[in-house]
Amino acid sequence: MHESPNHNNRPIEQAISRTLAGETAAFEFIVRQFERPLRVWLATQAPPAIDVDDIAQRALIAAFSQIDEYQQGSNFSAWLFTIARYQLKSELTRLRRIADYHTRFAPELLQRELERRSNNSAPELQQLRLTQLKSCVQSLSEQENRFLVWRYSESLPLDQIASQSGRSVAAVKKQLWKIRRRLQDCVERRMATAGETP
Amino acid sequence: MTKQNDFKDLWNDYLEGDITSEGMVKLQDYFARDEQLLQHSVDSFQIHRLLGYEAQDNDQHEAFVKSTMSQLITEQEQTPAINTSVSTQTAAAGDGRLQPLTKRTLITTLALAASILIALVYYSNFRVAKSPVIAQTINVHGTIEWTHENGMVEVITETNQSLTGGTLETMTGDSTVTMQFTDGTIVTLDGLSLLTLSEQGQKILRLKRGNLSADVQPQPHLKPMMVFTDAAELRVVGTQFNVNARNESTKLTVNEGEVLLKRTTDGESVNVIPHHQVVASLRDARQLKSVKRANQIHSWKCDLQSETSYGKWLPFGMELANELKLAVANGEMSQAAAVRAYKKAASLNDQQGSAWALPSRFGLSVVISVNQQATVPVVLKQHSRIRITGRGYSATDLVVGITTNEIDGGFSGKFQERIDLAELINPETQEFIIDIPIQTMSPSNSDFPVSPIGSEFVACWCSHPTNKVTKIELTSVEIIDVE
Repeated sequence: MHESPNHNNRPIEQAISRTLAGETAAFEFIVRQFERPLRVWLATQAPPAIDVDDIAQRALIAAFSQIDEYQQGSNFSAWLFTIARYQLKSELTRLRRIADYHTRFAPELLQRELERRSNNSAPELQQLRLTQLKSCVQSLSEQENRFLVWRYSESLPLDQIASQSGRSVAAVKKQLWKIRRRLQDCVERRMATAGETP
Repeated sequence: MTKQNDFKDLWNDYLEGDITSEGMVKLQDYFARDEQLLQHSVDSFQIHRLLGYEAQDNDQHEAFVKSTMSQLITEQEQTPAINTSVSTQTAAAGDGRLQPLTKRTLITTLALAASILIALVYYSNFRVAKSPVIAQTINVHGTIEWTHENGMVEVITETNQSLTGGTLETMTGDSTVTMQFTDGTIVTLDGLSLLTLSEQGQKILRLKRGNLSADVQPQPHLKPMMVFTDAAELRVVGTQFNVNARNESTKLTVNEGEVLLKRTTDGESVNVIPHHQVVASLRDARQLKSVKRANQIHSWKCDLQSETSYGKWLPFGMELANELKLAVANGEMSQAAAVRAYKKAASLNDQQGSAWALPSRFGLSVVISVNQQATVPVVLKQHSRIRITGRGYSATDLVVGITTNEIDGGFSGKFQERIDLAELINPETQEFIIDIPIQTMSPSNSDFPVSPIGSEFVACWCSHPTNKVTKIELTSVEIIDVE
């Protein structure tokens, strides 16, 4: 198993002590330390129409306001992710009340499977997948990388990507599908080598 | 098409946000029949999400940290201080005895007492002196009136004007005011709009009419920003959105984050996500639907009957009826002949008419806004032109202006051009045609972008600063894509 985001407990425990002593600014250290793993985990577990950053913020704020309930010296990361799981569950309850959720945002089985995974998935696993993904992205060609930048960094609409790449929208979709597929295979291979299953 | 390709296309459309509701049902069907396909798709979805996450730059991470810390401080200000070590240690003892105060806890306690005292003194002084400042104007253009909570009315002409609770009214088509709340939330009001604002631990905005664009910092979840209009109420915890409120309906467009809209007539609500819009109407009882905004178009022709947001729409039949009545009264024609003439004209097209400018103490104006139900943004291009036809009954200057939004964003600016109608009016028919290349229009304010090209056209207005011009009527307004 890989190191949890809590592997270096000392500075975290110190920040918690200072927060408990009333030094609100000390909590920033914790926010910085856990912001990425928390958002990565939520990004992979939350179904569409859930604002991942909103849940991450709610979890951090709840952790701050209940920090006196945290048993110092135990596992802060586990404690924080339990709060995040709870926040995600409340949001999923809200989604169930949206009558046409499944025709607008996600097929029911997809949403259920994500929910099932969120109950079982270790946060560290998603961190590891992200690390593997970064390595896999490096193996892409320059042109494939350009498509990723257009689609994910610059959030260009497909028709704009099509005009910039000189291809049709259908061809752009196909290209993105191929890239994602390659990356998915690559991540799975690497995870298997590392002894982890997705 | 093979099943595999069909699924591939559907899944692609799903990840790209292009899927239809029928497509969604088909996907569900695929998943129900093939567990492996479902597992594989969830993996693919997670990779897609990780790619999105990985694309974030350091600024976005930094913004998240800052925004979380500012929310946390807001939250802390609203719920009296988190438990300090004093309470933790006392509770941990669990035997009901008070623990002796250590030096640190003594200092903490004294500091807490001192801050409460300071807060009390500050609060009592503040209450006596005046209501707290909740926002400050950061951009002002045109005529804006500010009615204080005590009823005092003030005309706002400058930026950096402090605002307490009260009512802001932008009085003319070219007016706009942008204000920044103390937490950094930015709200722009433009056109002929009326907004009441207050903040007592929670931002409450009441938009009686007009256009509001907001870029909202994260709000406490228990106290979200609320925007009320006649037809809807919006719950906002942090996002960018635009609202247009008219007499009977409210249009909400969300560009970032999420806004929960509740229709006032039946309490039905819908969560509106980025690049979607919804219209809540007092008359319409159908299911509320959040609709995705479609790709842009570059030309538009107004329907004066439904798109005149300020002015009076009169069908041609009514004008004709008035003219015929006058002719009968003057003995110029018989009543029977007048009725025949009216029936003949009315049968042609009762949808035709014109929008008449209305007088106010700030002059004469007419405002045309793109239909609330339109889901396709009208984007201005390099060679776009605005063409307005109408009739003017005295030769004078007319200001023609347009209001634009950022594409998928908030208020962008107002641009205008002064026209000498004397040169354009046909003396026999009183008709005029104004044709202006969009790129020649100047920003109304130096804070607006230099050009409207590339922005979304949302409204246009024609105005004259006095009521000396007796009548102006518009018969058509178009954005023309010359290319």
